Amino acid sequence: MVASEQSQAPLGPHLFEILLVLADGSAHGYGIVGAIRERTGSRVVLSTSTLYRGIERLLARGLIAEADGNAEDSSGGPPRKYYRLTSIGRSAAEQEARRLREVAAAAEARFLAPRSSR
Amino acid sequence: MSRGTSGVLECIHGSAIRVLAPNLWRRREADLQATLADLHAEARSKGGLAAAITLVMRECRVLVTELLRACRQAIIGGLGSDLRYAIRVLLQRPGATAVMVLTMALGIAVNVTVFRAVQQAILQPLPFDEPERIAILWDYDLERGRNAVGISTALAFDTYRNGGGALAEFAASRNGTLTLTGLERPLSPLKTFMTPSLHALFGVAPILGRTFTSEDAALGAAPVAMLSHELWQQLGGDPSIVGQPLELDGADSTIVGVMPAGFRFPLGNNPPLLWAPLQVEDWSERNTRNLFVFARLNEHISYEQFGSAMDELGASLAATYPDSFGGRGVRVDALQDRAFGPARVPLLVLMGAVGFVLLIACVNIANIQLARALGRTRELGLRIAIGASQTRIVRQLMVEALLVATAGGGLGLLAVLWTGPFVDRFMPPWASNEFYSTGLANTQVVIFTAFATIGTALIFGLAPALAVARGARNDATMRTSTEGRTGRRLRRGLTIAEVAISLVLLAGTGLMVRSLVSLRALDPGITTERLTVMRTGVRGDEYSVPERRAAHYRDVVARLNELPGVESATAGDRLPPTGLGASVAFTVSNGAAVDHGHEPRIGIRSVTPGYFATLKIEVISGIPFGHETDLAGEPVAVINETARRRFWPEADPVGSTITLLDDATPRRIVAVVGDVRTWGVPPETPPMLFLPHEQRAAATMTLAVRTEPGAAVSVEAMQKIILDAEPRSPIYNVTTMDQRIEDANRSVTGIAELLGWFAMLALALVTIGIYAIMSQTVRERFREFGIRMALGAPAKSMLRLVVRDALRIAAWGSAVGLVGALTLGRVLTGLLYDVAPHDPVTMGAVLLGMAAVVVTASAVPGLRAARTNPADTLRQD
Repeated sequence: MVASEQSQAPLGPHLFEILLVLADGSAHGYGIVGAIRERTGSRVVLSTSTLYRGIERLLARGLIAEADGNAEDSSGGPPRKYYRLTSIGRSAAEQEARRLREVAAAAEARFLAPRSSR
Repeated sequence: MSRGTSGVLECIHGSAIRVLAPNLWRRREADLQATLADLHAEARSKGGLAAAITLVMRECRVLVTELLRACRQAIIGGLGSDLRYAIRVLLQRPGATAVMVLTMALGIAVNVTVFRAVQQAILQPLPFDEPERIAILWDYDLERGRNAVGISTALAFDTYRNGGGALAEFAASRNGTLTLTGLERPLSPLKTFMTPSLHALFGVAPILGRTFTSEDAALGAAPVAMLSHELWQQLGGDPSIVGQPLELDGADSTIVGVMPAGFRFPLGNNPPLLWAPLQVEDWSERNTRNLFVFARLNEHISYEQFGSAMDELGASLAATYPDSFGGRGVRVDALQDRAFGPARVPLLVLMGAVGFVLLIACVNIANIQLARALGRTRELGLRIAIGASQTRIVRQLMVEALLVATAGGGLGLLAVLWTGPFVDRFMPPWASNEFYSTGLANTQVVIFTAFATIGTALIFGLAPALAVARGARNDATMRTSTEGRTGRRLRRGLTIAEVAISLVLLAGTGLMVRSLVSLRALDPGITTERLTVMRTGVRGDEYSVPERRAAHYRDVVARLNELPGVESATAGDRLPPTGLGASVAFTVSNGAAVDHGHEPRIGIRSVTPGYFATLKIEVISGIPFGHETDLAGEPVAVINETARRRFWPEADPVGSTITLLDDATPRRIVAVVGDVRTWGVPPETPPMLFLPHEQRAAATMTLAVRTEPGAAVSVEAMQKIILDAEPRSPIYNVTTMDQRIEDANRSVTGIAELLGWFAMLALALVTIGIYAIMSQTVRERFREFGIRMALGAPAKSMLRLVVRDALRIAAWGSAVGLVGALTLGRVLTGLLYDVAPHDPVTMGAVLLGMAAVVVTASAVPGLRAARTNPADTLRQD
């Protein structure tokens, strides 16, 4: 219940990016960083500490959860933890997307619409 | 990029997270390591070294930013509510809060007061341009060491100037007095004669007109003068004063410039009011030492370089003129060090003393704060239980401490309005407020106060806060603890520190007082009661003839002697207590043999007949000169006991002759008189030669008039006699002999008295501290006392128990303090006379005194313990 209340709060851009990545399926830390970098054309590159602080906050709010059973596909080295979107996370992301769409629309109307000549 | 380098970078990357975000690392170590390994593997394969470094740098930037944000949050977040809460808590117990604030105010006030003196005397740069490059040169006696300094001769100055011109600019000055006539009453300003380059050397420009030129300094040039700002204001502050005439000693000078306010040269308590160009008749004069020599070192010239160049010049002088410069060297000092050298040790001692007072105040406040906070462990424990972190609790208590400190600091700064003038009264001249008119508070003082306040808050706030926060956590975890052992041990530790600190202060004071007592017990060599002293002078062409000067003073002294109520009067060119002053080399007819060029020197005083009788200086042998001596008569002289001891160790000097090298006149010694000592540490009795004023008449003399017991003779009546004899005579420095000695003593007595006051303050604080801790102990051991008494222990033994406990604390404190006191004694050595720095009598007395204070302070709580009613105790259970 606490989590659903918290999900009302707007998500920061980094958290939203993480949710966006996880919407395509579960991923590990390195995968998340790479996907975000790829999607944004290297405009957003998360540092490791930012990534894990974000993951911790999303975990605490119940928006994501640790996924099990994917550890074996790692390319050697230490085992990686996978994260997946929860249903609360999905609705929070949708809500955020809607909010962003409204903001974008408002901004477009003001700044990007063809201006009438003076 | 090699795997090794990549590995190192990955390791650094991981360490950065581990150090700067330790909690995150702890929680997700494995995952973080895996991700880091992936990221660095990617960097290795794609971008090489640059990519890996970018990775690490970005991480570090993010981590540091986050850490700073967290710190800011920890410090500022919720500070408002902490502050409100602290105010409420402090106001709940107004009594204890008031005691803490007042204790703090007292500590801060004395510290700020002494800091002002330190600032004035030491920290403030001299009011000249780049003062650190200005040096003063002394002529000193190689045999007697670098402290046996004197001023220089014209030839020496000329030699330095010609030989050292590549290293520095040189200038010289000579002190002299001129009387400003043509005013309602003659005014005798101190005047300094300076070479034309001196103002340029100091780098201070006049506000009106110009400085001296080399034409002004040429022999026979029209007399000119520069005024100080003060004198200019005194004369009406006319902006067109430059070019106007000024009557000096009855002759006209032209005013060529006015110096800005605050320009003082020479430094000292009576700054000169005007300056005149130094005209030197003979640059090869090498026997009269009357010049102060200054140099401004050129850029990139060090004092060492300059000093060694001057040493060479000094050595060449000594080789060329062994009779004048043999056995003498050149000493170079930075003017800044020389000006404030004597002030440094006493002021630092005082600063240390008040620092101790503040520390003791801190300990007392810490004890109160601790007791109060321990009483609140339950409340604080509750706060921890409902989620407050320990840091938060410490911060809450620190906010309280800071509030107390700030209130105390503010009040202390205000209190300086009263303590300032009080302390200034004891300050020796070099540290008194007149030296620099810096005003009460300035930026440095405020900064000092702020630092002292915050520092003390940290000292008295942090220890209790940490102890209590720890205790409170225990409480929160339901462990039984009303007052932790840590708290009790901390309080005892604090009290031990308090005793130790005050013992050091007391010992220092004890040494100074003992030294003062020894000084006071010394025979001054004169009787000081009922002696009125004033200085006067005659000037002008009329008095250029010695006979005329002699006649004038003969007349004045005779008339003063006739004044009803006057026992006797006399005059001397300098009166006690003064040091050696100008000294002259001499030879004697039947004294110890000396090499040519190594003639001894002796101080010269010119005195009127009746000098020894009036000042009541003991005549040891012979008969001093009387009224029959005059210029035409046989040249005679009187020497003092030190001169006899030093120069005639075997024979009786009466009847032998002494020849001063400056006038080559043989004089018959007619008497030996007792020594009159100088004041200060160490007291000195320089060898002295007294000449009849008739045979060596000075223009400026100090008159001494001893009145009959019970007679009231007005100073006005004495002054009228002087003015009747010569209406243009200035009269100044009117005082009594007792006052003169008091002033001369001030550098020692002032420090001792101030230390005494500070020590008393410290002792009072310690008494309160001991009383407080013993009261608390008695309260805590109430039950134990009751049981002991119920089991048959006599009431008296309870008292003994408490006092013994207090004495145990005192013993520990004294042991630590004694070590400190012995160290302090070594620092004080230069200020002590006839007392060893580890003087066992002083140390013993201080220890006994401390024991007495501790017994007294613990007796009251002890008696309370003795009155414990066992029945009460048992009922309470």
